Amino acid sequence: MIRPARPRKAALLVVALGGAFLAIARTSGAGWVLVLTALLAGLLVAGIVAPVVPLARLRLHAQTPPDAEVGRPLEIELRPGAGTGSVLVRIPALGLGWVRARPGVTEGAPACRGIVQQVGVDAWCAAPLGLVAWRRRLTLVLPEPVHIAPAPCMVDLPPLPERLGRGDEVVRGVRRYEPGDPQRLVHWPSLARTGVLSVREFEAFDRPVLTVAVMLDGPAGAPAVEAAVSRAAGLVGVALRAGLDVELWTAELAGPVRAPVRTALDGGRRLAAAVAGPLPDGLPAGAVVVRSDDR
Amino acid sequence: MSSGALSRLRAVNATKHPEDSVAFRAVVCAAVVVAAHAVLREDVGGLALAVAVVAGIPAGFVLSHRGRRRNRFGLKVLLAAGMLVAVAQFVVALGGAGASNLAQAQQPLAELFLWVQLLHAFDVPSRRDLLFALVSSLVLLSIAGVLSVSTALALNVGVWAVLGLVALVLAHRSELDERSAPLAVTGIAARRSVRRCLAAAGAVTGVLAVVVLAAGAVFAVAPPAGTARALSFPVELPQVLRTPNPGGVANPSLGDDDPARPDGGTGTGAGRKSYGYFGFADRLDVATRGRPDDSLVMRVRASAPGFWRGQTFDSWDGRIWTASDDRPRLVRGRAPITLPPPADGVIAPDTAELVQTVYVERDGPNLLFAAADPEQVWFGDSALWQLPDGALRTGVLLDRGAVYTVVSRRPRVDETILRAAAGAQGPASGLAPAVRARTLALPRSTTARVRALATAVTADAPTTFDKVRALEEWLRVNVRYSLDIPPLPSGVDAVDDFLFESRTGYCEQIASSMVVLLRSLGVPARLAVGYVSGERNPFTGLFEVRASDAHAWTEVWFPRWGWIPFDPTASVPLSPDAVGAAGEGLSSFLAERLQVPTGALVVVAATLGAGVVAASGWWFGRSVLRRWRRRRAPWPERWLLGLERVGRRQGRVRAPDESARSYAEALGVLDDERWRRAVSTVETAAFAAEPPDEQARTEADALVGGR
Repeated sequence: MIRPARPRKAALLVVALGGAFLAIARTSGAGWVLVLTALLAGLLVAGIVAPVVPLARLRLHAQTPPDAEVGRPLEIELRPGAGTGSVLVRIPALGLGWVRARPGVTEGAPACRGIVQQVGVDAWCAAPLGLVAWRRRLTLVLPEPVHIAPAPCMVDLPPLPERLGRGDEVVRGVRRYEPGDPQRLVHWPSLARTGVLSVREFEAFDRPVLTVAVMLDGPAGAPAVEAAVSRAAGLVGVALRAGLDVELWTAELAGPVRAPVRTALDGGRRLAAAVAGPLPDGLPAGAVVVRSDDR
Repeated sequence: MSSGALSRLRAVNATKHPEDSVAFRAVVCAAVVVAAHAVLREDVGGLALAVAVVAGIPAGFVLSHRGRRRNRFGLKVLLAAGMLVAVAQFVVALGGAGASNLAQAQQPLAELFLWVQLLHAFDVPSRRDLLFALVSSLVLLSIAGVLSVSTALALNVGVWAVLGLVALVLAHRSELDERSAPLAVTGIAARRSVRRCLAAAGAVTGVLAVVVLAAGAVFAVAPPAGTARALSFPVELPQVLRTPNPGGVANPSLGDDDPARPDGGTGTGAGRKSYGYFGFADRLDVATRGRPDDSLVMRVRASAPGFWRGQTFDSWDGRIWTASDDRPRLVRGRAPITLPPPADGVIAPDTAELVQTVYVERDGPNLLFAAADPEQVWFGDSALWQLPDGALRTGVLLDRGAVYTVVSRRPRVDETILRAAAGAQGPASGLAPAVRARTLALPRSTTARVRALATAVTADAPTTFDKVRALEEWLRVNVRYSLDIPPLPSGVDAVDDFLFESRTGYCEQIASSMVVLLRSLGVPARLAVGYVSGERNPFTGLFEVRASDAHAWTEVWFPRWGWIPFDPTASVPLSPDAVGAAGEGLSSFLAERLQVPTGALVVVAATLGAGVVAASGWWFGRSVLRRWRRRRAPWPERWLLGLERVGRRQGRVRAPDESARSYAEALGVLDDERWRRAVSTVETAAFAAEPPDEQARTEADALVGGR
């Protein structure tokens, strides 16, 4: 539905000028001033009618990467239909401010965590004269959902149980470095000898595991909930960087989920989906529980 | 001023968002120059101001652009000082002109606006300043509109309209660029091709067409520019050249026939201007041949058309008309000069006021042309002469550029009133005996057959009004209007010759015959000369009176109502309707100027309007057709549309590539057995060879709200 936006100063000025001109024409008898009044009226009519056309024609498609993080730039590719370059659109859910509806790539910065596939689009148009503006609300379905992970908080790694302490690792061997491997696992002697970046591999039973349970109490978006999720994200990140295995216990819309987290991206996706709800049973002793009512 | 206040002042005046678009700036500059030119053309300011404005405004815009990012506080102070000087100059000019009314303030005010526009041109760094300059240029154009009485302003208005439109478009684009987040444009949009430029030009042209059509429609129905009594009226007298014969007629356009010449006019006709009319003298010889040309002689601002009367003649000798009681009364005073009622007339019981402002375009007679009877006059000289019939003469020559206003009171009559207008003493009741004698007198040359004709034609007319109408009808049927008339034989009564011999003539012959015929019936009548209203210019709102509009008509006495004009040459209504709308006569006016038939112009306007309506209709029809097609779509598609409605209510829109099943799953309805069956039915209908049974379809429809 196309609705009128708040009256613009320019339109009010045209109306005021038209009224003044009409008064002058009626009192002075100046026909030309009446012509100018009619011209202003025509301008106003065109200013009212013209923006409706591109706004009604607006068809918008957009594409984003599947993963994003709150507050971080998110690349958004816009693919509007033709002839709508004078329309401004914004997608609040993706943190995209007003941008011209032209084919191109822009950046948003999502403000809220979550999994987003269907987003509301605000469209605004006053073109081509800029006198009267109209707005329209559209719903945009993204080709695939965007997982907006929470912005991780800076947290310290909690003290680990003895069994998981460092120095207990048994090195099984050395393998080629893969992106994402922690820096502390780099095997410097082999790098010095062969020039190939390699990392140490440990025996599986000796890998330290950090269990993080996220217990939320409140709707998504509530400051306490989001703060807790951010703390959990920070914790997962720092643990992964420390070379620990992380198991994340969360409640999602589909139910309680207990699963290991291999990468920060993986953790972000899990935390993007986290909601208030019951966690799986059997939380191990030593698990780090992040609660939304923690300070 | 403390340093804190000064720094605050600096901060307030600092440029916040400098405008970088050169195109926008150039277009606004052009619009301002066009508006300034329109004012300068109305004789505002001198050569120095014209040069300063035409050269200074573009220079100011260039300097503003160059220094748009600089804080030019010092320049702003200088410009403010300049503004103060301009205002002081305006105040001095008002005092010097001794402006006794608002109209006299127009010229100094226009000069002040020009100075303001010029000074402002040096400080337009931002978009807001440029838009302000555009608005002030429109105000400047409106000042030119107030001052202008000619169509020549059309060029300025037209050019300004296009420039103003383009400036608004560019300003809005600049605003969009400012408001919009950065966007790396890709694809076709990234290429600035000629096609894109043409598309933009096409869009502007389309908007311009909408503006013109809408403006035309508004103009066509808008009430006309006011012509009622205002606070003041323009008064102008370019030079005060006294007439050599105070109170008498002076008409330099008649050359040797000018009655103001020491010899009283030789009658040779030598030196007569092409626009000089022989009736604007102290006598009118109906045998004189030759008509004035189409020169524009004056423009009249009035709310309704009328006869702009110059004077009347009541004495007829069979060939020449003269005024038998030519003793004008001197009336003195400052504008407005209030006039006494005409000595030969009567104050009608019901009158309507008509205000006429006359702009003299050719040096002409010293007659103040106005509808009868004048009541008040705004004129540049303090002395006027009023004749017994109410006609006015000036003591100065009326040259081109003279402007005066006459407020007249016209009897508000119609056929019923005039039929009922009868006096105890017959048609001449209420007239002073001397006037009655003059306006009933006929010369010896008036033949019996003329009298007989009058009696015969009006045999069935019981009232004066009916007699007038009967004679008008007879003249309309039996005489031929022509400017090419045969010479009048000497010693012959002109009316007799016209009615029975030549039967060819123009207004002087026709109106004279009417007067003679009426007088022969005992109805007082006299001959009036002046101008018909002329063509109304819908843009200026003025009646443009040409020399060829010079006319003679008949004034007939009606008891209680006075002298009522009748035009036997053409059918003119008794009380012409006031101009109803500003655009009245627009199509015929344009058709004549563009030299195309009025019908063609109407067809073009109608085609354009129909085009806009058709485009809107096509757009609307297309969406209706799409909806209709959807309704006619196969059942699975229609069911899917129903499911989409259900989904929209839940706030979940179907993705373009989402199947019915996956969409239903996303909506979480597949837990319900009925929905699972419905989706299976839809899939069967869409893909299976055998369609599902009617019962299953009905059940499925019920879930999405019917068919």
